[in-house]
Amino acid sequence: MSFYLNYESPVLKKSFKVKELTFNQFRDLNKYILSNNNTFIETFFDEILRNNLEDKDNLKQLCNYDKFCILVLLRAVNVSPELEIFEKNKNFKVPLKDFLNKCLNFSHDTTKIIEHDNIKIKLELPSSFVINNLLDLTDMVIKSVEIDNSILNFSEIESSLKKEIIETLPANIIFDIKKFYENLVNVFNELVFTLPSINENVNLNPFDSSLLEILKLLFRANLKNIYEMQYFMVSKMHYTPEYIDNNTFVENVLLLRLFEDELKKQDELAKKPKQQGMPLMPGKQ
Amino acid sequence: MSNNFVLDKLKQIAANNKVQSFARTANSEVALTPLTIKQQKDIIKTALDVVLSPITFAIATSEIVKENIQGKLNLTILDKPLFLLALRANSLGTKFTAEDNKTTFDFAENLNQKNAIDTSKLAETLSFPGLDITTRVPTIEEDYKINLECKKVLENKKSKEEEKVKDLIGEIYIYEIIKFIDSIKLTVDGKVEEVKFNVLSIQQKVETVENLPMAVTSTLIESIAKIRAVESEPLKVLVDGKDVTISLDTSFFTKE
Repeated sequence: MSFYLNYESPVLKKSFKVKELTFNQFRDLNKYILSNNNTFIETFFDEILRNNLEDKDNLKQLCNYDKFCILVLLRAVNVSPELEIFEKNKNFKVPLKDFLNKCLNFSHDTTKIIEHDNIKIKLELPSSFVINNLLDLTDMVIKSVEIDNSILNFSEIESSLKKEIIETLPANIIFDIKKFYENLVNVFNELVFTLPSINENVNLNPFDSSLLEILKLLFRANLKNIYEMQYFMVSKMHYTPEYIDNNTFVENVLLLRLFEDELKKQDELAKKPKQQGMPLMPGKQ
Repeated sequence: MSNNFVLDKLKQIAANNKVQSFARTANSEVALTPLTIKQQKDIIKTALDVVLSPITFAIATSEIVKENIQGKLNLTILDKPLFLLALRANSLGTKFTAEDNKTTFDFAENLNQKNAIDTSKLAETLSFPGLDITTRVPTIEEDYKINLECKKVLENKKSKEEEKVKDLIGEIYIYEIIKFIDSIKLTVDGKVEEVKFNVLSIQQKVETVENLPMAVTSTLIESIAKIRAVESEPLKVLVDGKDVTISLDTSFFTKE
């Protein structure tokens, strides 16, 4: 049975259950991060979310900020509660708890309904992390169109029809979308991710690549170390590859530490001179 | 209910919300469907290529006029500015702050200008030794086709990175001139030969103009400037007692 984390969406004001991030997901994610292809990385983040959300259809409801928060949650719980950065010959540790809490307590309304000529258009944050061109924003933030009490949700129609509907909308909507965008960029300015190593604040902006760049930074790990860990656990600790893959990264780290501690104790015991005739104290080996 | 319901309804709304304007050369009222998001985006995209921006803007706006206008009128470039003002007013209003962010003006009055123009009176016959050139006012369609060809040629040259910006501008001038030539009459050894430009391909027109003497092209440009001045009449606004001509470019359609 899988263990689920609870995620309270600050955007949708509802809770979602998310399965833990497994070791193999973390390892494969690092392969994509190493490739540095943002489209591939985003696709893999989506695959993780689709796979780990209790209700897979929920992915359609999530904006990029919700996805970001869930992934930071998984990172903090299943990989490590700290981000370690080694720079300028120094090791910096960034606790993620405060940052995550700030993100989860973000309470601004991120939706807007605009009305033109009896047409109601619902705007929401984009669902994608990769926004190459602000001209594409109209396609990303329009979530539904309502005319004569008939609502058409864009998540439920084919992309070709969605494109045609958007292109047919009156041009002045672009200026409302621009205002919606500018307002949210200002609101999100209050959320910053601080990098102590370079003493720099990275502003969270759901309309540029900042969310994806922060996620890449949070999840980036030494792939060689991950493989060494996997090899050691199979060859020396005799766990099956499937068992290791299905654990979380932090669980595997814990098992390794326990094994190391056990080895140390055995080493210490082997070095101690044997005291014959003396009984062992209770609780000691 | 069909998903196409919304699309059909949007088209119906656009058709019912026509923008009224005046065709100066046809001396008649015209109705245009309002700008759509796609058209707005097409206009914004024209600013992306700095060198070719004026041509791509002219192409995009001609496509918009052709698509949004109702009826088959033989409209000329002199009609286009009023149509664009009307479409802009409909989507963003009649106030505009110029690029310097200091000059703000209102062009509401310009929309009411209904001065008919007889294009035949703007045509001139320019005489040179052994050569007569008759000018004309190009239609929106002719202007559009030549701009398309000009853009294609310039993009090709630009991609080869051989041409400098000033050479590209020189090329644009040639294409500008061919739009306005109706015919060329050559007199060689007392024999008169007339070449009607409408039977030539764009490339043949370009080659012909390239072979004209410099003094001829200079006079042609002066004649074209007169037509362009008539074209920009609806774009004149009074700011602090001075005549200012609205610059029809991307920024005019993207900011209030």
